[in-house]
Amino acid sequence: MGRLSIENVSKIYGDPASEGAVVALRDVSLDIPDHAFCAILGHSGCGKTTLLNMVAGFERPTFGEVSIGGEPVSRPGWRNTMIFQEYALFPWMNVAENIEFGLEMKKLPQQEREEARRTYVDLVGLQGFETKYPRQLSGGMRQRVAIARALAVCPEVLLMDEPFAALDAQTRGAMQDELVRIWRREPKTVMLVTHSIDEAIKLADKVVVLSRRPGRVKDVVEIGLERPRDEDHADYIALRRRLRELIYDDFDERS
Amino acid sequence: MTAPDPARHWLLRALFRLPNLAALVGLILLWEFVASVWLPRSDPYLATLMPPPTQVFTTAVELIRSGELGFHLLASLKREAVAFLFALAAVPLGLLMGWFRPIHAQLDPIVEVLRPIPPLAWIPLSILWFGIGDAQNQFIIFLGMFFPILINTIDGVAKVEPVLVRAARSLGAGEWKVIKRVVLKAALPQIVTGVRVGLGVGWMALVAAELVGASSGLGFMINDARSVLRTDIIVVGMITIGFVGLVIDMLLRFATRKLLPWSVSNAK
Repeated sequence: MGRLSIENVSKIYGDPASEGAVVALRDVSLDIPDHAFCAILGHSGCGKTTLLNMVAGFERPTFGEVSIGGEPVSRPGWRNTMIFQEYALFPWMNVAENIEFGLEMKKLPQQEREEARRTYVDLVGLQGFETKYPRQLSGGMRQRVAIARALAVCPEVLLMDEPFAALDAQTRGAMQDELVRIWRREPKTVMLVTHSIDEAIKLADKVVVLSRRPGRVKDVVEIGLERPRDEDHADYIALRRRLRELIYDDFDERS
Repeated sequence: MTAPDPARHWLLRALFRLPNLAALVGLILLWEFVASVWLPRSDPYLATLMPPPTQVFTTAVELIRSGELGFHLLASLKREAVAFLFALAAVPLGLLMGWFRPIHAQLDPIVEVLRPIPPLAWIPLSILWFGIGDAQNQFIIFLGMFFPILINTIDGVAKVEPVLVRAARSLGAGEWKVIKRVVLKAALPQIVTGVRVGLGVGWMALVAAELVGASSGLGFMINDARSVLRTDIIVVGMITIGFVGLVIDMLLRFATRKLLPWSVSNAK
């Protein structure tokens, strides 16, 4: 149901026939099975956010097709919901109202909305904060609200655009652990964009490395480690070295 | 850079110790002295043009007791309120103009031509259109309110964070829900700013409109008092106009803090 497939997708900004056209992505194909956690790793400007935006339905591929569970993605919605780096919580709604927003859009009856809200407030550990407004919360707590809000609509694919980049290093580490815990309780197909090698290894089953512009799939690295993952484990260190080489190798080619 | 040491000079020190309203009280005392002691001795004619505060106060009490002040104030407030209800049409119009580019492209030139015309410049034409009375006054006030609300609404919509709109769409909101639940809400603090400015401009336009085209209202009252040389009534009217304008603004600020607790300007 939540199988995400990206088939021969290219994104070109401007008229493809003209010289000024910018090729952001070229011929990207990916298959992410249901309930798998996939990280897209690459330099800034490699088109990873463009790829994510196409899966989210914010942009259309110039060529190729993105589909979820066999159905092509044509617009944004709860099936392919996105979590943003800047949280994007509605400042005029409190925590409970933010989490219930998507459920309201799905036209769920109030009782079901409240039940779902309670479930996800518990899941992300925000009990007692339901009536707080976003500006009263820390960055990590805000991102918890955003995660609860996105999970509450039961997306088939959950998209994350560098969700922890705005947090300080300690909070980021804690939130990564939290995300792993939440994801294991509520396994969804996840596509997470990051430029951090460690974040990719720590979270994902599968790391897709994109090359510099035009973005192409350079390699797909399976992370076969048990969760929670130990940064000092020999396999972890080997994976880190391999991913670093993939990324820097590319860097040298170009400069 | 350090602030000047308040303890350095005796004059400065004295200034810091003064109660808040000292300057105002001093000014009123000076006014009383000039109007009731100095002017009558030097030029009795000028003295009638400048009523002392004590006389203004007794006149105010009289006008309140007789109900005259209340009558004119109510007439003015009613006009302001009716015009405001009509001017609120600027909110949906501003939302449409801010959100849909083609609508903005069509309507913006019209707005830009009409907006710089001061509401007072409409008075002659509006008297011919509506005659003397409420409708003409309300039209002038309406013009004073409409454009600040419209411009601020358009601006508020333009400043809505795109990521909030994307988040709403990503949670399944359709176009109408996005406008109603996100764009309107996000623009609301700026719309309220427009309403505050609009009510202020409207209040000024009201008095001007009543000066020439009304038979009631505070503007009429002070103009009528001029023809019988009752400067004390004029001053009472002026102070009332200023005071009520201040109260309207304070009420609106209070309401904003209560109703829009999230808005950034009120965060602290």
